[in-house]
Amino acid sequence: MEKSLFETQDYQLTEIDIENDPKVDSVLTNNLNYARLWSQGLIKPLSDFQLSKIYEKIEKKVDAGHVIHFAVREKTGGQLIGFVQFNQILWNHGVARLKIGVGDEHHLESALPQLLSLCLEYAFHELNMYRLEIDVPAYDVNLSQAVTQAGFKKEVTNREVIYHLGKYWDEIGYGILKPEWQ
Amino acid sequence: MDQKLILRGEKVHLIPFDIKRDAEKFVNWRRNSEYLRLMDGSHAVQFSKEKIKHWLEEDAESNTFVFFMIKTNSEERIIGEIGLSDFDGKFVNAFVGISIGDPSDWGHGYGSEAMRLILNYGFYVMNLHHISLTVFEYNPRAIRSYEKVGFKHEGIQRQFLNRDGRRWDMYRMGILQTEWEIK
Repeated sequence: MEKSLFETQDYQLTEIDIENDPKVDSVLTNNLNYARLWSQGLIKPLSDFQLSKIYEKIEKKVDAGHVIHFAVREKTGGQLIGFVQFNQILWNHGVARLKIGVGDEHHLESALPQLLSLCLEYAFHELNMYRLEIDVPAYDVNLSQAVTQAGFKKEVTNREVIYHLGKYWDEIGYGILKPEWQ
Repeated sequence: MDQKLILRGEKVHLIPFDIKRDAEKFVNWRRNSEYLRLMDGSHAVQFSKEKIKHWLEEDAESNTFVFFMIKTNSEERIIGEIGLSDFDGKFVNAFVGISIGDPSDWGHGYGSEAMRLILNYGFYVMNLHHISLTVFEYNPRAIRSYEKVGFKHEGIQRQFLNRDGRRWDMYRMGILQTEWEIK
């Protein structure tokens, strides 16, 4: 119980700051790799107004119990660097899908393993999930390495479902079950 | 007229949904828990006609998915629904979902034919590159039907469901536009 569910060595999970986060996130979405994670459809940089609206929708889904969302900040200074989200939660089956967005690429290498480890802990020890999954575009080598190292197993190759930089890419589905997690 | 532009096969055709006409059908189909558990991972629950009407009204104005009712050619009976979703803004991949409501209509090839019609629509009208679906391990009839239509196995979401005291896999299947030819 003493170990924080919301802190890693360098980062912390917090609530959304509806007033200030949209401005920061808006700048981060100039990187379309990051914007893609905020988008249901068209991938584009988002204004702070658009992000405020998206945040509002997320809060409604949180209220309905379908989504759990955290802003990710640097522990030192509190700068927003991205988010983690559990969505498509089916409480009756103990399953959820994880989404991790790190908008500031300088943090990718250190943030991904730290956040994945924290999310697994949260999913299995707080939410009491049985299974957690994450979809990774085949071109995202950083994320696929990080999820494999975190213990996820490759389960699905959804063939050529992502169009990215002039080519079709597979989306790889990874999953981990509670008994497999250490 | 090019065959691809007609959503009609030998046994069934696809028509737009009509809120007044169809809401009650969904209500009745949903009284069968087997239907719900084959179709959906959400907990089996029934909805009022008013609630379903409200959702159908919202759907009528949506551009984020497209769905049709399935009607038999011979008796002009509405027997189910089929639709594509999750393609918005990209039109690369979509997920297809299908249900035939009354168990007495299962196993007659209606679903396979409706699936062929929606693949024509998805690939030749919407220009999708790939169409995906999920199906539960305990639904072998549907799995065979999807294989027959041309879907390939793309993986397994292990132990995804917890029903009747045990866990079940969820299979992922998909088909590329290049693998599909009008039949």
